[in-house]
Amino acid sequence: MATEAWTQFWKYLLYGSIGLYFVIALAVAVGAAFDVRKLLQLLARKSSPEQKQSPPVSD
Amino acid sequence: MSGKSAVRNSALPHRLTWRGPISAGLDRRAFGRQNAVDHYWQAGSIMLALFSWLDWTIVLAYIAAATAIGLLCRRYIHNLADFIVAGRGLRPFLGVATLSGTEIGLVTVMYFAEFGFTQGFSALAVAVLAGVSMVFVGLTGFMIAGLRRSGAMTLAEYYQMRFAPGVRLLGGIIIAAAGILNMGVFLKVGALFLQKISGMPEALNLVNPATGLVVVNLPVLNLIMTVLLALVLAYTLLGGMVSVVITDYLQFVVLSAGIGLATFCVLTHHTVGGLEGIVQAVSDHRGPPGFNPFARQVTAGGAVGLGVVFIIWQSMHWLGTCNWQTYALRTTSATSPAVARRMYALTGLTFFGRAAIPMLWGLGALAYFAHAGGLEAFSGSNGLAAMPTFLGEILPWGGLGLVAAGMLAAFMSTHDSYLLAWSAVICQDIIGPVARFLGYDLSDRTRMVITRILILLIGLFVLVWGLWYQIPGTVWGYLAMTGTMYIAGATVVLSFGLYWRRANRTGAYAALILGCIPGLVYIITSVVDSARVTQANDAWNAEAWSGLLGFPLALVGMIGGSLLRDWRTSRRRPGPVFVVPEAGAAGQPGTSQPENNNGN
Repeated sequence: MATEAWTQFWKYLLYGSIGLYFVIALAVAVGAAFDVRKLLQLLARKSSPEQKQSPPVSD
Repeated sequence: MSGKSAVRNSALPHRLTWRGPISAGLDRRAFGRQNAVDHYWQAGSIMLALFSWLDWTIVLAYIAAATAIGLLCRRYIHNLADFIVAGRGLRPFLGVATLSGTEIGLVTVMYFAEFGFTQGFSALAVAVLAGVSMVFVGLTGFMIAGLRRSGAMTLAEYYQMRFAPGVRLLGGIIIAAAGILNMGVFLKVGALFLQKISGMPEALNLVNPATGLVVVNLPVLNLIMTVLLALVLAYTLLGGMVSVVITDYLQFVVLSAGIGLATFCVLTHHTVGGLEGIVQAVSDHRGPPGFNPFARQVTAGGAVGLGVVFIIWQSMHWLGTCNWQTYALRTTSATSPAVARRMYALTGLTFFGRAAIPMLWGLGALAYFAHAGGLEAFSGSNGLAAMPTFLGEILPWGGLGLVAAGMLAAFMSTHDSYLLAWSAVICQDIIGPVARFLGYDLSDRTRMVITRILILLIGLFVLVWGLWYQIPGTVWGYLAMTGTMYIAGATVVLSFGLYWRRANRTGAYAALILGCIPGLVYIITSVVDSARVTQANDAWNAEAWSGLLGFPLALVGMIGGSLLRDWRTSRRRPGPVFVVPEAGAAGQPGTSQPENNNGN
């Protein structure tokens, strides 16, 4: 592949990957905020007295 | 001295002792970098160059918020599963945020930028391989779905379920050794970034005002390394995985904002000249290998270009990267195999940008110094300093603080996860089994204490290794090599363990040992004679060949070892029965039964 073709390929890749990254980053930032809430609820439930049983750990 | 020539000089190692007053609020552009860094520490006040009060406020506010969250998370830690795998409550978006937050470390940004700076556009081939491999793993569930279904908490735990306790022990030792060696340079590279972008001097001299004599001379890099390590240790020790995933989320947001701002500044800065300016600089200073990743050219100043062997090695390396312990911990922390797959597919898409964006910054640094002059100051190992020096020059007030906070976030999110990952492996996969063998059953509480002590010890090792070890090439080369020591064997053992019924423990032992030998030899040789390894890299791409060799060796070990044991077993006891029982109870760490014990 000639240098010119490689140059075009890398340009498209750069712009594409940068755009894709920020679109996903935005979506993840919003979605993960809800997931953090659910994780903390889950852990808080586990810390309630009736559910303080620790799962066994194998080795 | 002009600002531009001062920039070039500041990239070179030197110790500064400037004596004289500094006026507050000086204009950094007019003042020039050399004057700016030529400050001294007197009567307890540290005067730094490029950071304004706004930059410092942003950085300190971020540190305070991250540390507070880490400490608050203590209340959610009740057992070992909470500490290591966040109670297995990781959902897809948070999984992506934490995986991206961990894997976009400051060291990642630095090594990819260095790679872009030294290799031109060809470096982007690594971004393609990284992204495609992760998306492939996510879409197919290759290895990760089976690992999550097994119910294992760590990869080595799977080795025991599938093969034998001894395989777990050996695997744990290799995983921990390779991982800790890999992490060994993180601290130094991260500290170098912060030093260069903030314009801190090479050394701080405590001067006696009466006599004018230097009382104490403190290397700034060592100081930053120590402070950073203390920060990360504090909240990783206290909060465990819950603190890690939640601070990772905050870090992901701050990091993305910082990355966005820096990328905008790189692409729009007049000296860089946009993408056209970058293309011109690569063409002038890197030649055809700067565009064609398969080409490689050895010049008087060193080798340029990646070459076919490097590309093949990297393809295998990235496919197996899902076995890297920090990735594997996210897999085992996912609520189900399906969630793990979605997490990987989405993260894979961000992986293009994860590599390409820092590479763009490195390319921007190449264009900036090529157009402004002074590129020669960043030849050889100084290439690592090019990108932070460049960003320190082009970012506006406040923006510098945001990017520094983002990078600090990246540093902390990587460090906390890595500290937790390797200490968990040593505790769960080495100390735990050995203690059990000796007749001691370690309680959850004891394991958490051991894990915390290990986090502290690993932190100290990273500090010492970072100060002492000299990397014989690019940082990425070193990291890929230490990674391959573990990934080559792990990929073969896990994939054959999941998909080949005849795989057995002899094959697993052989694969793990043979897979790590080339990388180990390379690292030991570089410790003994770093200069010779650097020459060998330039002359015949020694690094790529060493890395590549690990995979076929592991493959030969697995197939040869398994067939050999099969053959010997069949001679003694003909007609072995292979049974593949149902996978273990997902969601309960360590309660799964072995999938297959054939040959053990």
